Amino acid sequence: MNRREFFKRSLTIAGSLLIARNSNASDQPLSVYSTQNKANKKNWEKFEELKKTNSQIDESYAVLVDITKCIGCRRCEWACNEWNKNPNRPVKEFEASKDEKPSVFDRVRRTHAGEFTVVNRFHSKNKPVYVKKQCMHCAEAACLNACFVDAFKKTPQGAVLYNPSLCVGCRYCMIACPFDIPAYEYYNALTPQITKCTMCFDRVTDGKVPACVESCTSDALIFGKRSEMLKLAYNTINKNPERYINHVYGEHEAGGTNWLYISQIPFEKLGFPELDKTPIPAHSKSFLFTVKVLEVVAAAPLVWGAYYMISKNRSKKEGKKDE
Amino acid sequence: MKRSIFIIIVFVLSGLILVQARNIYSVKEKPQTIKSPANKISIAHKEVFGSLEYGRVIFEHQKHIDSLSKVLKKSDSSICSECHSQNKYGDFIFDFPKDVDRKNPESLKNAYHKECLKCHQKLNIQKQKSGPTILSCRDCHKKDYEKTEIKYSVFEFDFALHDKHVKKHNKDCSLCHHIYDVEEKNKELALFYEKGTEQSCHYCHDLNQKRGPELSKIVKIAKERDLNMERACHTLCLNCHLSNKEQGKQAGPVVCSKCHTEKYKTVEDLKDIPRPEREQPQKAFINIEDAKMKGVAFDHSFHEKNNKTCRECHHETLRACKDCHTVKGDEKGGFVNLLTAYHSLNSKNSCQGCHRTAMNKNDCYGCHYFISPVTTEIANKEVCKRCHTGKKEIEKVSLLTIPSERVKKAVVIKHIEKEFEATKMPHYKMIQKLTDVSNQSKLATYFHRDITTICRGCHHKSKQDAEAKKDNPPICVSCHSVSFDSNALGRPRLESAYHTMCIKCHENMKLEKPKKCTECHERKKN
Ligand code: SF4
Ligand code: SF4
Repeated sequence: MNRREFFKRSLTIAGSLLIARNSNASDQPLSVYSTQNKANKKNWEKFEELKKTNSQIDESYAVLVDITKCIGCRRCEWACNEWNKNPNRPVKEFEASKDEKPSVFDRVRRTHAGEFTVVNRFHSKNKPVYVKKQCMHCAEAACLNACFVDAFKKTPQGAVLYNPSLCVGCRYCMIACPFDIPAYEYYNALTPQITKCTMCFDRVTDGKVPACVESCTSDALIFGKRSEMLKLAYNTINKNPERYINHVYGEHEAGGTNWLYISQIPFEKLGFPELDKTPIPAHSKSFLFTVKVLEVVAAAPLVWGAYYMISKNRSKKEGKKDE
Repeated sequence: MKRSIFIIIVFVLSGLILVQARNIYSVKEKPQTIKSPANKISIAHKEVFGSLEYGRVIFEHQKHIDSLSKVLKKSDSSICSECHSQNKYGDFIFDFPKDVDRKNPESLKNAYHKECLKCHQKLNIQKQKSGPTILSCRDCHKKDYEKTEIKYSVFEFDFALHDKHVKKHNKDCSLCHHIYDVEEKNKELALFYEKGTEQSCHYCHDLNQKRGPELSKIVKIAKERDLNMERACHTLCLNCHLSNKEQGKQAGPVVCSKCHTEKYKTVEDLKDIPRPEREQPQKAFINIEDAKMKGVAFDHSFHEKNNKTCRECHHETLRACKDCHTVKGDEKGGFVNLLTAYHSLNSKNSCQGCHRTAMNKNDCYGCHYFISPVTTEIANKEVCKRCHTGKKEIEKVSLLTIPSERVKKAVVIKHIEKEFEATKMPHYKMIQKLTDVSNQSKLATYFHRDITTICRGCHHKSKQDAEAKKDNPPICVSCHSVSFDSNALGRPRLESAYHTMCIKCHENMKLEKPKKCTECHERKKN
């Protein structure tokens, strides 16, 4: 087999696999590859709607996470799934994982389509330390800057929202995010979707607190105006210097995030990336430049491919109608 | 052709990656530290040589003493002069080699090589067993030693040892204690003893610490003479021990491992040891003339017994606080005014700072985790009055007793009944335990005047003025609503409040139970 032949063959295999998977997905709308979650879309629509009313918000909100308080009950995960209509299980199963062996906590998880937030377990001095993870809602969001169709918006409330109808499924946002947050799902080839935490934009604009905050059983999550949360964070640290490290994660990281964390041990040990005060986009510029170059080069075949797919799809649909 | 170029490129790339990976992943080997080095000494003189070409020499000090005394048939205390020089009073200066410019690396190096070899060769000629006799580097600068470091544990001259010395020397403090007069022109006379000025060696000889303006002049001189703690103490202690030994008297240890034992006494061990007498008061009345607050009666001897050194409070010199810290604060006291000197929460030496550390003990931390310490800015009259009584006598306080009829035996927490069985909380037992803890500590007893203090550990807001008039403290649900209260975002829900308070208290007091959720509440079976 010469090299050319090898490439050809492997491409065919990959291609057929891809097609097989897609067709599978469209046959059964609720396959494992898709949650068909509407939360991101719903929040975006609410945002668009609110834009029309011109309501003024003087300051963004934030959630302050006190890592020293979290007991790892995972109720926030449950509540998040419940509110955002993600696949869910009875709450006892979530709570049980704390004492179970083996348990979901055995490995460090990341967010997925259908799981906007996860609680991870770390250890410090033989004591478990639980850390909730979700989108940080960065002020200078890397996802937003990486997206070339402008599918992300930073709302005055603080949430970074995502618009699935604009998304082309390039997944640049996934690469750009320093926290590994955006998750990708595709239901069929033409409606790709990124899913991530919305900071419960829909609840917050209704005067409620995010679902996870409401369900937190140990006061580890506190919701309020960002400046107040910062003040509270520093107050807590100053009052108990031996119990906290003097660092509010998210105050400056990624240009300042709308989720803030305080902790008893350094954040590097809890899976947080060490970011300096430079917002991520400044770092990712050079990367994005290469991306643009690639777009120019790869544009022609991609457009052709897309056209081909669309026409094929259309003929298929028309065929269906005819039946 | 093309294929070979391709292969070459692949090779070069993978090579580069490997090199990078090695740079990243190779860990620099750390020297291994010997903690109890069995009378060995590491010779490296980093301050003179920087890094040594052939690494350090690990020198068997005791072995040399033993074999030398065997060969020379001298007692091992008189053998010191073979290697170490003496000053005109006959005291040893524990430097080796003798009479050499110790600042010049070249001459120090040569002196070492010359002195060591000279002695070895001499013994060799006499057909005695000896160390290396020719200049062959790796015989002494062994390869293994490059990775070995020697570290003796710090020796603590605690109150027990002090007391032993006091008794042995019939309270002759001048044997060890001295002061240095910086003004004195004749340097011979500058070092002398004056009764009532005794203080810790650390004040002048610990060169690593910051000192006030007065002491720093003396410390500077100690630094010039290279009299850090190690040298000062070795010179003083060893010379005395050696001369006692020489005179056939009972003498203290002269072997490294006998002092550097790595064993330390605790405050508890030192409980019955009398403290050094330096005309300090048993009880003092701290009353500052132009201060606003009333005076504080202070039990000095009680505090002596609760600390391992005088330095814990008297950090700069063994003088009264107000000697350096003035009401306004000035240079003499490092611009720390008297108020801060007594109340600073961040200092180990202040009253409040030390009391606060005491509250971090497991027993106390259950409640005090939640109770932020009182600062002078926001303290109220009630609190200040605890210490500032204005009376010379220390207030007598009685132990806490539980008014059994008023305290509920058990509390059943029901609001979780939808999902969990109700939780039965042994209310009385908890109070009993906390009261016992308080009664066992003199510090706690003094500050917890009334059983409601214990209540406040959990019923934390009961002191609020409106609540103070009521008979019973508010219960959790009076403030913490079952569902989220959007008017008070910062206030935890009832469930959160319970979890935070119960779990953190159990955690901080290092209580055995509960480990699992179900140890407090069983899930409902349905
Ligand atoms: S955490 Fe990631 S997904 Fe969330 S706003 Fe920041 S960059 Fe975007
Ligand atoms: S609900 Fe609160 S306590 Fe429970 S895991 Fe989430 S953050 Fe931690």
